[in-house]
Amino acid sequence: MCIATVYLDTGGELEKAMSDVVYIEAENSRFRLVNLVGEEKYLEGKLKRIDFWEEHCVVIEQGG
Amino acid sequence: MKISVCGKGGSGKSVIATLLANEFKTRGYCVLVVDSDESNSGLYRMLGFDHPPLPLMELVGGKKGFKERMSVKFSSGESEHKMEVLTQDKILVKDIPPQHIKDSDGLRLVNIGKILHSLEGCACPMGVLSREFLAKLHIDEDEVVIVDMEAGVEHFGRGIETSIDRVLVIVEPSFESLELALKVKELAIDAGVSKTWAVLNKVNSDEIATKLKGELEKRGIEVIGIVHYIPQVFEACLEGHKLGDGVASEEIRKVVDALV
Repeated sequence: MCIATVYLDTGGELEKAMSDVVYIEAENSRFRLVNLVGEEKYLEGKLKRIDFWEEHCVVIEQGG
Repeated sequence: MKISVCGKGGSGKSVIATLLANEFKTRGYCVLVVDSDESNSGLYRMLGFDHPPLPLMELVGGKKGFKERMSVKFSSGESEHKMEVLTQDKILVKDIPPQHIKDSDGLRLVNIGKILHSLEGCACPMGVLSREFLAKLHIDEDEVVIVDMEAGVEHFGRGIETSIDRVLVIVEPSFESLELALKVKELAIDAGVSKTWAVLNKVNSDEIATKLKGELEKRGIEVIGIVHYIPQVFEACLEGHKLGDGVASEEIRKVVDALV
């Protein structure tokens, strides 16, 4: 699917931050996530990985 | 009970979903039909409604509206209020905004959404919305949900069946339809659905019925009903009319007996 699950990498451990994410916007050192039903969440970190092929996920590494 | 009606394109999913809805309604159930086919749009006509309900996709603003609102933070307002329905942990039928549900004496219809424009993108959002809506939809003992699925098996890939109690695969007289039934059975097991049954449709002779039943038996699929080729159904589908009352009632009664 082209709708992603966003994970936070907390130093080896992946924590699911949000499911069914349809929009991600970078705002300085944080990311604004919006899911299909309009719920929002902010994550601090840097982009580590995007997988559109198999896992349909985005991984954000915690911290700056 | 939540029932998924699936099968090959053209096998008669919408017809059987309509017949099932009518029979459940006759038995006193409150019926909610979920149009989860993002391509075909005629289910509302078969059920006897003049217009389809507004798609549930519109609760999130539709593809275009949602995208436009991405650039600004969500704020309170009517559309956000409507969207709250989808963010609830549990959705009751009465929570669905009236313009998004059609109701005729206990026979109700909701519509997830349709692909409307060239290059608008894939139907993944509709699949996710179907999955989430069905997972959160709470029903009582006297309520039944009948989901008219898109053709094929992509809906399994999207996880729509994860909250379904019964998978009904509609099989028409063709090898492809038989093979798809097997695939549906396997995918339903993967999705955690224990019951997958077949209904034969458009059967034009007892010999064909016997052959199809035998082929499905070989594939480990039980047939719980046979709907023969019915000229009135053919005509209603050709003209885009409501399926007449009483059509195939005896045949569909056996299917409902097995389901309940």
